Amino acid sequence: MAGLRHMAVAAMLLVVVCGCRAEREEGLFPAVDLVSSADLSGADFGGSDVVDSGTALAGTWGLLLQTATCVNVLGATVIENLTWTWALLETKPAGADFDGGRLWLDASMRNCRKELTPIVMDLAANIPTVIFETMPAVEFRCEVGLAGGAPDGEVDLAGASILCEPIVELWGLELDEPFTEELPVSADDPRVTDQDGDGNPGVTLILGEDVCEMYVVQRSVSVYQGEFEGAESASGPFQAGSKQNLLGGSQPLCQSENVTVVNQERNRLYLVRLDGYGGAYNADLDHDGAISCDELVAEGENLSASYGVVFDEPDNAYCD
Amino acid sequence: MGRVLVSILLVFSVATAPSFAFANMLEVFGTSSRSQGMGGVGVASANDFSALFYNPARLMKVPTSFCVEFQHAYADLGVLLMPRPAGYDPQYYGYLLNPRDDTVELPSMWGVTVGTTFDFGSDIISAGFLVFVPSSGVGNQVSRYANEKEQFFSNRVGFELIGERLQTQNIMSSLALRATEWLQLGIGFSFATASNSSTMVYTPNPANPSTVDMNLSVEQDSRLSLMAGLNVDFAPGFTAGMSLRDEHAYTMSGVNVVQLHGLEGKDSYVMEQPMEFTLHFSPRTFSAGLGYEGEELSLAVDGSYLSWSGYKNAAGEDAGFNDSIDVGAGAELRLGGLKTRVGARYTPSSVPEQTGRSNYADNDRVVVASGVGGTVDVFGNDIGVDLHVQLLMLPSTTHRKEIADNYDSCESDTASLCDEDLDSPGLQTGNPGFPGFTSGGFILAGGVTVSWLFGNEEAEE
Repeated sequence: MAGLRHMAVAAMLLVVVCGCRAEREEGLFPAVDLVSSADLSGADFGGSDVVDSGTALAGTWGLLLQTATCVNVLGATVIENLTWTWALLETKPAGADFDGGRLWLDASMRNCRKELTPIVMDLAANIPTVIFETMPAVEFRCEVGLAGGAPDGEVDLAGASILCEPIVELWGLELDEPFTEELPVSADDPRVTDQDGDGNPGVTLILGEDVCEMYVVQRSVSVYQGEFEGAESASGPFQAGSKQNLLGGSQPLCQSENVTVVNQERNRLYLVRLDGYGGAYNADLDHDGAISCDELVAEGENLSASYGVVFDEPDNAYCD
Repeated sequence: MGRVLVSILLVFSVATAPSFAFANMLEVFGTSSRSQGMGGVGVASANDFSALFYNPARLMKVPTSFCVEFQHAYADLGVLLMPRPAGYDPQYYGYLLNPRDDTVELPSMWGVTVGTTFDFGSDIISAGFLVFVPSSGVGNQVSRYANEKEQFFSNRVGFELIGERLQTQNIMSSLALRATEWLQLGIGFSFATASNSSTMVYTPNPANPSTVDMNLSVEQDSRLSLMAGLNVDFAPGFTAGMSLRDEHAYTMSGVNVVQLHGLEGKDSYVMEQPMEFTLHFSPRTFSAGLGYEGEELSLAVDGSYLSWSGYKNAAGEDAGFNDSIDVGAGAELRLGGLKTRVGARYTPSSVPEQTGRSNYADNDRVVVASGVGGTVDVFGNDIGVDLHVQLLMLPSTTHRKEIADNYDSCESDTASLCDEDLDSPGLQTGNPGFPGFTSGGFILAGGVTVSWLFGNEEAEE
């Protein structure tokens, strides 16, 4: 009888003890994607077949971007790092709703050049053009809001707004969920590709003049937006976020990763016409009827002067 | 009534005196197998070296003795982190030194206590000395952030009041006096350290800071924390006790002075990195108890008011804990030469729900205890041998971070969940406790105490 009592007490304690064990539970926060909080309110990227118009905006454009980040260098100091991007944008009409004062464009973007300001010991990371050449063009749709409407189909672009759907660019990797999936942190991750075909994982960035190589994967998410000054150019801030994971480096100096934070307030976008349409700037240097990346890069300074494109110089005060 | 009033006035006069000192296995499990087997009671019932810890006035009830206790605890505890939802990662997340992970292993918890008591052959004065040495040795100090800063270190949420905190030595001594026939008073001190360190660092190559030249300077200071108590024999066999243990902490402060080659002559050539740590903090504790001691049966009840609202975390910051009251009760039955003990204690958690930035994991503790003891004759000496076992149950507790309309940046005075990248849309946080965590489990503790009872030997002679 006493044995039974002891067993009952032991069983009761066991039940109580098991009830103490922690079980994993769920939090209150819902999952969000990286672009959910971009201000896309009112935008409709479905296009329209009301009227096949927007031809005034169709053609070849240069998309010139300044992206600002604050970089914590080796935990010692925080400096501003600017990335200047030259990209080609081919646009074509995707419909219009003139009564509603909106029209849509389908855009195809290809990066031509990216230049970064120095980070460590006056050394900047150089991005070989092979990275851009091995990336597919990025397709997306933009909505143009006509300031005064266009009830009779007459499009006046001065003051018109442009807002494009979020785009994602992946360097050196393939993701099933490109906007939200965690980036690989190891070269052994099967999602990592040798995009530039140099035998190293991800893509290879060069520090300085061949000081050393960094092997990275990167995701950039951007929401382009701006305001047209006229039929030939638009400008404005834009939202961008990027995440880069270092998978390795050829030397110790290229094996340490710096923590970066995007500084949205310094981001700049310039959308400038390149194809001479309606008297706009014509960058078709070889007169073959098409504008290449080489022509865009070669005409960079003239283009900037013509359209008043101004890229800033790094100023660490913006990172205080 | 007059005795009670005098007693309360005495204890409060001591309680209002400023001072400092406790934290370790004694605080969670108690000390001496007799007291531990009775659920950790002792304020009005300790009759061995444990009086140093529970109520120094009761040293007057203890004969000259030398005791050694070995105690060990097995823990099956865990802090389980809730899964992180997508879309809240700061840019650097995923490349941290350690991946975010549960805490499912606690450091080994065992230690040895040596206690001595002296009655000086007198019935008006007694003294005692106690040293507890944890298995990890003396001088261990481990700090941890209880917010998003910990992502750069362990990237876990740890138990705040157990775990590493228990791996602390304890040294205390006390003196007791018989003031009247019915009143005993005790006073003592617990010892802690306060260290100050500075390093002078020269970095020849700022681009490769793994190689540095360094000088070190460390100064150790001692800090005494007050313990006081009284014991009142208010009726035959009945005793009341009160005691105070003042707050206690090990502190460490200092500065790293870093020189960066290449920046000579510039303001940034010398950087100072101040350090400030408060470790193993224990709160001011006021305890009261009643005891009955008959021929065959002893009974005791204790209660303690713990001023956890003064708790400082490792960074020396107020943790926002609540004061709490714990209660315990125990009994000892003496039949023949065998003493059988049982007891229980309830200690509520002082930690409020962690809905904001901080991640303090703590649980209520429900303790059931038992023990046996007796005396054996070894070469003509009375040797007391006592065994005890305790089961500490920590019922599962869940903390969830609350959703807010806006999140502030992570400044030193930010208490709510904070955004580590205000420039990116939405909340970005690498806080290991985000979006919540659950803690709980149990600890099974046991030990043996061996006592040389010189007082008994003299009595027999």
